[in-house]
Parts: sequence; structure tokens; C-alpha cells
Amino acid sequence: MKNTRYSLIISVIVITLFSFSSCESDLNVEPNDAQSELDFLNNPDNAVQLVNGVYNKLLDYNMYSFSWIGVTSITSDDADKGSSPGDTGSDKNKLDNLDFQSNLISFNDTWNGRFDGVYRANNALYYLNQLDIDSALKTRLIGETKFLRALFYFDLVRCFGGVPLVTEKIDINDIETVNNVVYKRKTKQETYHQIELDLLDAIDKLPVQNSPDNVGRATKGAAQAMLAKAYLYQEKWQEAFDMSGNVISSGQYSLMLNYADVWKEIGENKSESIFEVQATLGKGIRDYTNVQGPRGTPDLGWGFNTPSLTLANSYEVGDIRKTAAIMFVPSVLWDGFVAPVTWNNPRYNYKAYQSSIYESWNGDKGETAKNLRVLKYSDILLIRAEAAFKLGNVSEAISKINLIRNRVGLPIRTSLTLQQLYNERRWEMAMEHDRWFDIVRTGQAQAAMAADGKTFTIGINELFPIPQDQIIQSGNRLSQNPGY
Amino acid sequence: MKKSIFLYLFLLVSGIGFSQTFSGKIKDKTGSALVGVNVFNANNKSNVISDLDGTFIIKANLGDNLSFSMIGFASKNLNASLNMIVVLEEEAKNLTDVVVVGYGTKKVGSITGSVSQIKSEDLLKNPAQSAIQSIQGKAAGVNIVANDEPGASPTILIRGLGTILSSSTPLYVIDGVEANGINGLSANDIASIDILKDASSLAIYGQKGSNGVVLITTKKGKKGEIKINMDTYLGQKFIQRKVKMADSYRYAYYNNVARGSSNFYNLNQPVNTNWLNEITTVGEVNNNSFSFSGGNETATYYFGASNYNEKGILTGTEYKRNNIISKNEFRAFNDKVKITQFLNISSVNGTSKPLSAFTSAYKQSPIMPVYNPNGRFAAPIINSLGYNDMSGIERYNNVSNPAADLYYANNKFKSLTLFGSIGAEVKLLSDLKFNSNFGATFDWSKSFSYNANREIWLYQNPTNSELDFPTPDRINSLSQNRSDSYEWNWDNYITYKKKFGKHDFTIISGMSRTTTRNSEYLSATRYNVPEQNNYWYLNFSSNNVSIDPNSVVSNAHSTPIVSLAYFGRVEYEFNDKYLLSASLRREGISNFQANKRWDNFPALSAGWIISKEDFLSSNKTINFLKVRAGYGVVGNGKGTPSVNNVLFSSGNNYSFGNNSQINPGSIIPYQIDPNLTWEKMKEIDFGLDFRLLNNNLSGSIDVYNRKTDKIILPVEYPNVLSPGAVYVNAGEVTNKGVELSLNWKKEINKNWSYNIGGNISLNDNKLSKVYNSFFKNLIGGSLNNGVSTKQVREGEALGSFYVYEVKGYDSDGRFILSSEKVNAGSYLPKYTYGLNIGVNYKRMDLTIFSYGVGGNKVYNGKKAQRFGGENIESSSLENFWLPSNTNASNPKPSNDVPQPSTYFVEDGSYFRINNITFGYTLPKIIKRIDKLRIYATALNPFIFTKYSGYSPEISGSALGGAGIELDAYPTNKTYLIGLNINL
Repeated sequence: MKNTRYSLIISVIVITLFSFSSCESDLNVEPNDAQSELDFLNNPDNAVQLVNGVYNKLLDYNMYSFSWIGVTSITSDDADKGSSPGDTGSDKNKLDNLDFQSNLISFNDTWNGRFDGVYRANNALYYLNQLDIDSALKTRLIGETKFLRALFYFDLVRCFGGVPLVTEKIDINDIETVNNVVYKRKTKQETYHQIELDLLDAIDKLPVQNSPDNVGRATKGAAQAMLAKAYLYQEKWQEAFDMSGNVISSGQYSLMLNYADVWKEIGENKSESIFEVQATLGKGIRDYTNVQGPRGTPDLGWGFNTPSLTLANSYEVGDIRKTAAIMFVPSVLWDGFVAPVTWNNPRYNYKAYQSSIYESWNGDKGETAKNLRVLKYSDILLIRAEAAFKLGNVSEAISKINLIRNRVGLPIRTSLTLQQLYNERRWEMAMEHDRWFDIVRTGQAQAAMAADGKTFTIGINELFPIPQDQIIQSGNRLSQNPGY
Repeated sequence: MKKSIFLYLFLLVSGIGFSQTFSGKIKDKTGSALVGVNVFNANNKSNVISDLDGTFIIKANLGDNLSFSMIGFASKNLNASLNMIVVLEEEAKNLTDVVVVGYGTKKVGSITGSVSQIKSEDLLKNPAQSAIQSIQGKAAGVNIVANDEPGASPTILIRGLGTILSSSTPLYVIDGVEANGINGLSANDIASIDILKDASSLAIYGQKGSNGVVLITTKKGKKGEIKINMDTYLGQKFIQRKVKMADSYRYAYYNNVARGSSNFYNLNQPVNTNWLNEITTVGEVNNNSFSFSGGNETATYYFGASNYNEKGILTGTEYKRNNIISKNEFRAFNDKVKITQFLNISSVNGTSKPLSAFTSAYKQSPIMPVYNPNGRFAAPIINSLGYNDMSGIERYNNVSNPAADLYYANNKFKSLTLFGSIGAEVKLLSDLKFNSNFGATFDWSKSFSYNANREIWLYQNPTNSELDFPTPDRINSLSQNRSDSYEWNWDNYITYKKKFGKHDFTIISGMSRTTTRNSEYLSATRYNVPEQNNYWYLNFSSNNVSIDPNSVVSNAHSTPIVSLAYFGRVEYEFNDKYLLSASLRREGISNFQANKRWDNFPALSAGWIISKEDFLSSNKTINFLKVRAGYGVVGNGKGTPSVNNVLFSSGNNYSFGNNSQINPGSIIPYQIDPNLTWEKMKEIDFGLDFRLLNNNLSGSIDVYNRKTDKIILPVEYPNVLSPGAVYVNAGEVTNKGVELSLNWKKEINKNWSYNIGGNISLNDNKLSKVYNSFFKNLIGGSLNNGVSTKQVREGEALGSFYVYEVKGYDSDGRFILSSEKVNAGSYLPKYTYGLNIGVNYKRMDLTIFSYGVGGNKVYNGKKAQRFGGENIESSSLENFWLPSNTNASNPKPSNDVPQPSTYFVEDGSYFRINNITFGYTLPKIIKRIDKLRIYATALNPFIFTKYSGYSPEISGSALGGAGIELDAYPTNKTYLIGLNINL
């Protein structure tokens, strides 16, 4: 009797405990807050999302905003720090004075932003290769991703020279690969070589034109234009001449009638546009217009990156590009907005102006609908002209320069000097984030900066310092640029 | 007279020698009647209970053996006699008192780990919105950072901070329900709080135990008549300390110097606004609680209801809580089965206001009036005469109008929390029982916030009219938020308890299954609803253009964390002298990858009651002496991401197409380390418990050394490897400390008694090792202006402020700062202490509780967050740098954004009187009323500190706002009067 009671009790306990232990599979919890790798990959539509995620990087604050504006524009003779004298914008006063220190946040942001982009691109390529989706779509998406990766590396090589070339997803615990790849700078040539590889593949894979729904994605023309520019920076004149020729002969692009419209909303993705960062209300470029918006009352922004007096004084008389690039205060703006004397600075970047009257506007200064022009047709004409000039084909150079001058109502040139060609590039591309790289690339930097009252040190300032944080992070494996 | 006649008769009758009734009175040592004492006559098996006067009447023969027993008192056996006066002595505490431990209880005397117990009386003497706040200063090793914001929870840290990323809050177990806090529980309904501190006691809780476990036992009914308890108090709240700000003249003077101007601000200002006064008011607090309890042989019940209302010192803030608790116990089959049911319902609603108003009030200029002449709120705009003027031209600072901040903040919240458990205890054999307990917490909350965008814009742009408002489709916005959560735990265990001669065994074995972090939220925002608050629902929006849906409605569910554990413990006592306890828990948790999920958590502890040895047993000085030692391993799996898998996050969108259609985009925000597993805390603890001098002096000492290994750190990799930090087991934190508590209790005579208690805990914390080569230093303590003040570095205390050292002044009166940031000390105190005094004289009682911390630093964030044109403290003007005064304590007035520096790091030590309570128990006038006590309490009446701000006590997270005074709710002082009635 007692035994049966015992066995009853024990079996109750055993059953209870064991019925419970069968729940060990409970620990395999399905995630609810984000999609898991497998679930994500099993849906082929996500391939597109993964590439959209790479484009999305272009909108981030550390991509084309304050730091990029600082290192590409405030540094140059075209622009000053702006804003109020006490507001340094962290380090923009130092950038303005060419006081480049490796701990400046702008350099680190520029580095991080682009390597974020490379990370996203590498991830996208890693998964795209595993996906079983329509091969035409897959080809196009790989092409777009490689174009974007080349874009990131092109910014990096222009700023820092040779950089680590990471072209695959790397296991964080694989210390050896990390040390050999992530912490090892390649040469400038090797970096450009990677850019060329990606762009050549992209040219191969990308369509000439996108469907109306896909306007804004990289095209074959964008990849060719990018490559032409990469050749130009390497002084590969013949290749630059040919590649820019391909863009011109594609017949896809033309100059807009009104130069001032290029940077307005009506110019977005129009005939002159080759590649733009796409912005819209609710999904804009973080603070791009805000950083450069006029400061004071009424308050349109932080008032940085103001066009320099040197730039304003450089234009030929009658060049309408002057008042299209520079917003003079006080004045009445193109949309009728009165730029009042209560603004802190005498000039602002007109190309970054977002109209609240005639353009898409919801009051959010931090995220406006303004697109950023990365590659435009006039740039390609100038590349063609410069390459032609260097190859001795001056008549081709003159013809392209005259296309540009003709559009803005300036007298055409019959002869052309290299300096005139450089000046044309300066005026045409003013405040478009190329000036610093152009003066460095063409050897004008010291003289140009001196004219602006700044000291450019040859042999050092051609490159920015590798950010201190990155060198520390690498345990000093990343080498510093000379002079820093 | 009547009584004596009765006694006479009684004597007469009983003298005859018949089996008669005997009566008597039962009292405690102080002479108070004891109600509910069980009186048992072993000779005739009759059984009675003493009544409200402590009187009993029992059938007995003269000389029959009567036994008197009651919980909490030593039983007594006496022979029946006439006119018995029985005095029961309270059982010596710490001996037979029971403390709650993991999955069981234990006599205090035979505990081998480190446990602090706080009883209901001590909680109720210190009324606070949260019962946890009432513990402050009463338990050694338990550091509580109070937060007086209505509805806020205090931060509690047991034996130092052992983690950075994971949760540092202890596990709360309320009558078997595992919870993250006890804010839904009324202090009046808590019987005791037991805090398990050392690893040997905690190991049985596995991955949930490493921050300590707080076991809450709620009150339950006792056999006998219905007992009714009512308590009510009412009070007013004030800011404990105020900072003296500059007046208009001083403001103008200072800021003129900062601008290098002599007349930008006119020195003769018509306005002198005290902004703190404009946004604060006298707070009000009121608590009413009511309970009744009772029971019989088969069932006991406890029912409590309470209602807490607070109007905060920040104008407009409100917090109301209503609680209902019910706990019932049913016994069946000759006590073989016991079913316990417990349910707590708590409903909260309130109004919150932005705490940033405190910082704005600190910073906003006194030359600005609250309102403009046109009736709108004023904005900091100055005219050419140097006066604040709505039609002026220059905005002289970026600080909002604090009064407008409050006026335009329309946030209300409501929540309903249910937690409860149902448990069964089955006595399978006389020494074997089975327990099953299911506990769950449901929580529903909703809130809304209404933002009058246009109104705010108008006051900031006073010369504009409504028509100028740039975004007429967003005149106002309304957000509605809903969330709910459900968490549960189910524990099953068997307990075997057996005594063989001098060998006493207790064995438990069981399993536990829990689901936590199981919540969902839904929130939506729309624009342009009617201004009147009765229309603040989304459907009233007149803005019906289609916008990006993601920005308007969002809904997500967290990934639940599931854990499964098996545990066992053996306790062995030999001869009541030698104590041994060993436990093991094996636990799996869903956070980690399959091969990193399971781990074992063993513990071993032993004790020796020396006072029971022959050589001490007759010692008059040493009444009790026990040494104990314990070692255990506990895990911490809380606070890390719910799943350690590669995750794609959505929302990284981008627009394409001629219509700029936003397309969905997704990315992998960070990589994962597949090897990630739990943090493991190992601790060795030595302790000594003693009672000396006729049990008047009791105390204990604990020395511990705990190492938390594999602490999870967010490690920054190069962005090209992982832009987001990767959670990696990367280092080890050590906490070493000593805890001492002493209590002296003395009854001088019938009228006078007193007690003095104190405790002190020392803790030394540091990140002793980091073994991940990618880890450099982790930055935190942001001031929200791009300046960070804290860093986590190897070899140094967690929560250290890392700022530039002030080395003097340059020729411009600016600080010369060190080139590198230096460690300026941690916000974590090196020692904490409490001192408690109680005095009773006849019917009067007085208690004083105090609390202090030392060795900690506070970052004066509100002072350090300057952009230009803000107000300054009056003292900043008393002694600032001038070419003629280069040794000044303050720099030259400046509008530069200050660098984080040692100038803003202040000594945060303080000593505070937390509570002074004076009570008076009224003489017994009405028979039905057992006790009627009135009391007056002052909470936080005094503080002694060198810190210059509002309060050195600032809660927050280790890498976040802890120890940084910025947007912090100032500590309150509260004066209460209350009434306590027992029926």
C-alpha cells in the first residue's frame, strides 16, 4: 500500500519534470523586432531593399552633411566657415584655416561615413550573390552596388590617398584578415584600380536608362561619368577623354537652358543630371540645407559654408553664374523671399537654398527635399575639355568650354589657356564640393589659398590626415599621411 | 471594583476544585495586551484564543498544563492558576525569525549567505511613492538612488555595479512573481522585504541573480477575527535646496562682459523673473490605505486597497495610483494541500511635464518676462536699448521659455498593471512536499501627447502672425501611444525535510520556466486636430493628405526572452551548530546561440554557530556568534539583445522615381559575435553575525570579493566591419567591499526604550580587465550638446568622469586645459551609510532615519551646458577672472561652449536626514479600536553637502545620466501628518 503511494508520488514528479523538459525547444525564439537572415533571404524582393539600404547611406549626416561640407568646401578658397564668429561648428574654423589635425571630427566623420557605405555595399553583394532571383534584376543591382562602392572609395582616395580596400564581408573574429585588410592601407594606385574595376563592371551591368519608377538609380552613364572623373584625377588623359566621350555620345544628357535651375527642384533628375542623391520630404539628406541655411532672423539654418569674397570677385563681368551660386544679403531671392539684413552673413550658398515658397516644404529644416548633384553633364564637358587640352586637342577643349559659356551668355572663347579652363571649372562647379580637390589635383592649391589668405603647405596638405581614432583603433597599423 | 468581585467569585468557585474556567491576561514585555494568543490545555485538549484585551478564559483544573503560543513570541508552558498574568517574550530576532531565500525559507540563525531583511514597520515609517525608496539607508550594501519625480522608480544597486550594458537592476520576486520592479505595489501591503546579496544565496536564481534578488512577501491573513487597518497621510512637498541664480542686474553685467560689450544688456532692467518660482509650486501628497484580513482553519484572506495621489512640485505634474490587492490561502485534505492565490491590481494615471523645464529655468534670463505685453509667452529677444522686447531684433539665447515649456506640454499617461500568482503546495509525505507556482504580470498603458506647434512658433517669433506659420498643415500634432506586455514564470519544486538525530537535511529540487520582454506597442501621430482636449483623437485630424505612412504609424513587438532552468539545493545542519548549503542551477536562455545558451551555476556555503560550543555557551557577553563563508557563481543574461542572430533592420529608405516615391531599404546595422554568452559573477563572501550584551547589541559584518567575468561590452569595430557596436564578452569587473551593521536596542524601564542602528558599506569598483583587442574606451555621459563626460576604461571605476583638467587661466581669463582628458572620479560612491534612531516614551515614539554617501562625484551638467546668453549662478559673479584678479575661482565671463572639465566635477558626498517621525498612540478610549496613532513626518528635512546644485542624488544609467545634473528632478522635502487605526 505504502509502496504504491510512493511510486504514485514519484511518477507524478517525474512526469511533471519531464513534461517540462520537453520545452527546451522553447529557447528557439523567433525574432519579432527585426527580420532574421534566413527569413529575409527567402524573399527575393528584399534584394532590392538591401541595395536601397546602400543608397540610404547617402542621406546620413556623416556622408554629405556638415563634415563633408567642411572638408570639401570650407577648406577651399571658394568658401569660409561662415555662421557666427563664436560658433566653430566643432572644427570648421580649423578646416577654414587649413589647420588640419588628425583628431578633427570632420575627418573621422568623412572616413566613417564612407566606410559605412562600403560595409553596406559589401553586405549587399554578399547576399545578392546567394539570392535566387531574376538574373537581369540581380545583374542591375550588383551594378548599382558596385557603382556606389566606387563612389565611396573615390571620396576616400581624394581625401586620404590610398586606404584599406575591403571588398568582402569579413568575420569580426578573424583577426588576421582584419589586420591584413582592414588595417592595411593600399596605395593610391591600388585604390583607384579597385574603383576602376567596380566601375567597369558597373558599366557592363547597368542600363542606359531607368524606368520612371527607378529614376535616381545609377545608370551606365553615371558609372561612365564616375569613371571619367576617376581617370581625370589620375591624369589618365586618354582614358578620361574617351570615357567622357562615351557619356557625351550616349545622347542621354544635355545642358539645361538656365544655369540657375540646375540646383532648383525643377532641375532635379533633368537632362543635365547624371547622378544625384535623391531627397524627398520625410527622407532627405540629413541637415544638408540646414548647415548652409542663412543664420539670423528669420532663422533658416546654421549659416555655415559661406561663399568667399575671393570667389565672388573671381567671376567675369556678366557671368550670371555668380548670382546663381552666391546668395547676396540683402536681396530678393528667386522665389520672392526677402533676404533681410538681420541675417548674420553677407553671402550664403545659393545652391543649397531650399525654397519654402515654390519647392516641396514641410517646415523640417533638417530634412529637406533638395537633391545633391553628384555628377552632372557640365562636369563631364569640363572633364572632356581638360583631357582634350592635356592631349593637345585644344579645339575640342574650346568647343566644350564654349558650350558651357554659351549657356550662361558669356562670349565664346577662340583660344584657351589652362588657367582659363581651370577658371571655367571653378565658376561652373562653384560650391559643388569639387573645388578643394580641383586645386589640389591641378597644383593650384598653394597660390589659390594664398590669394584667399590661407597657407597651403605643399607636400602635406594635399591629403587630409588619417583620422586619429582610426589609427588608434588599428593599434597603429594604419599609417599616417606625411606631415601629420 | 467589578473586576475584584468577579475575581473573588472566581477564586471561590475554583477553590472548590471542580473542573472550572480559568481566566487571565496575556501581555507582552511592554505591558500591552496580546491579542490572538493560542492557549491550549494539554489535559483536556481545550483551546482558546485571547481576546482584544489579551484576556482568555479556558476550561481547566488548577494545575493543568497550559501552553501559550503565538507567532513571533516564545511559547510558554504554565500551570493553570488563578488570575494568571502571562507575559510572553518576543522571540529573539535573528534566531527563529524566518527569512525568505530562493524557493524556500530559512531560520535567520541558520543562514549561511548574506541576506538583509526589512520589515513592514520600517517601510511604513518612511512613506514614499515606491517601497524601495523606503529601504534607503536600512540595509548595508544596498545603494539606492532615490528619484522624487512622481511615478519614477529609484535606482537600486546591490554590492556595486558589475555590468555596463546589461541590466543592473536586481530581480524582484513578489510572492513568487518575478518582476522588474515593485512600483505597482503599495508599501502598506508588504509584510517583509528580503534582499539576497551574496553569490551563494543568489546562484539558485542563475542568470537572473547577479544583481541581487529582492524577495517581497505581501501580507496575508491570520487565523482569527477580522482585522482592519487604516492608514492615511497628507503632506506638502518643497524643493529641498535651491540654487541662487543671478538677478537681472548681475545677468546683464555678466553677459555684457561675456559679449565684450558695455551696453548690449541694459544694467537697469525693469524685469527680474525668478524662473524656478514660475515653474514650480508646492507639491501635495496624499495616501489612503485600508486593509482587512482574517481567516479560519481552512482559509485565510487579506484584502487591501490604497490610493496615492501626488501633485509634483513641477507645476502641472500629477500622479495617481489606485491599488487593490487580494491574497487568499486555502487548505484542504487535512492541510495536505494548500492553494495560495494572490492578485495585485494597480491603475496609474498622471500628467507628465518635461523635466527640461528645470534646466531651462536655470538657464533662462531673468531680464525676460514670462509674458509679452501682447499676452503671448515671451521669447529672449532684445532691443537696441538692451531690454527684452518682442519687437527687438536679436535673439540673445537659445533657451525656451520655461513657463511655455510647461504650458504647451500636454502629455497624459494611464496604465493598468495586474500581477498575481497561483500556487499549490501538496504534502506528499510528512517530510516531502511539492510546490507549483505560476506568476504573471500584465501591463497595459496608453498615453498621448499634443503639441501646439503653431502656438509655440508664434511665441518664439513674436512679431509674426498666425498666417506666417510656415507649415499650416502641421498647426499641431497629436500622438497616441498604446503598449502592453505580458511576462510569466512557472516554478515547480519538491522539498524534502528530514531530521535524523542531530542531522538535519533540507533538499529541494525543481525547475523554472520564464518568458520576459514580451511587449508590443502601437503609436500614431496626426496633425491639425481641434484645439480643445476633448477632441484629441486621431480621427479629428483635418490634415488628410497622404504622407509617408512609416512616419505616422508604428507598431512593433519585442522579441521575448525565454529561459528554462533546473535547480537543486541541499542544506545540512549538524547539531544546530554546523551549517552547510550547496546548490546548483542549470539554465538555458534564448538570447544566445544554441551552443552558448546553457550554463551551470553552483554555490557552496557554510556556517558555524560558535556560541553554541561549550566554551561560549555560558558566556554572558556573547549571546550569539556565527561565522559563515560562501562562494557562488551567478549569471547575468538580462539587458542584452533578445536574439544573437544577424538581423536586418528596416527603415533605411530612399526615394526613387519621378514622383520621389520612398522605397523601403534595409541594412544590417551591426554584426554579431556568435560566441556571445552571459556575464558570470563569482563571489566569495565571509560573514560574522553576532548578538552581545543580553542581546542588546546585534550586528553583522560581511567582506566580499566579486568578479563579474565576460562582461558584455558594446565594442566599436572599424565601420567597415560593423558600423554599430558589437556585443562581445570583453572584460571583467571587480567589486570588493565590506559591510557592517550594528543595532543597539535597550529598554531602560517600562516607559523608556530606545534603539540605535547603523550600517556602513564600502565598495571598490573597477573594470579590472579587458581582453578584446578592439575595445578602446567607451564614451558616455552626453550633455546633449556634443560633449561627453564619461568613459569606461580598463583599470578604472565604472561611471568615471573623463574630462579635461583645469590647469589655470590663460591671459584672456579662459581655462588652460590639459591636453588629454583625465579621470575625475566616478559617480559611484565609495561608501554609503545609514543611521537610524528610535525612541519610545510611554505612548510617544520618535524615529529618525538618515542616509549618506561619500567618495562620489557629480557633474554639474546644467552649468556646463552653455551656448551663450544663458543665466549664471549668482556665485559665479562673486569671484571671476579679471586681469586684476587672476586667481579667481571662476573664469572670465564667456559665451563659448564649455569644454568638459574638472571645473564642473563636484564632490557629491552628502549626508541627509531622510525621515523624522513623531508619533503618539492615543489612550484606549473606544473599545473597538485596538490602536489609534497619529504621526507627523518630515522627509528629507536636512541635507549636508558641498555640492552646489539642486541635488547630488541623480539617478540614471551608468553610461547615461547617472551622476550628471541635467534635466534632473530636484530632491523634495516633504512634511506629512498621518493617522493609523487598527480595528
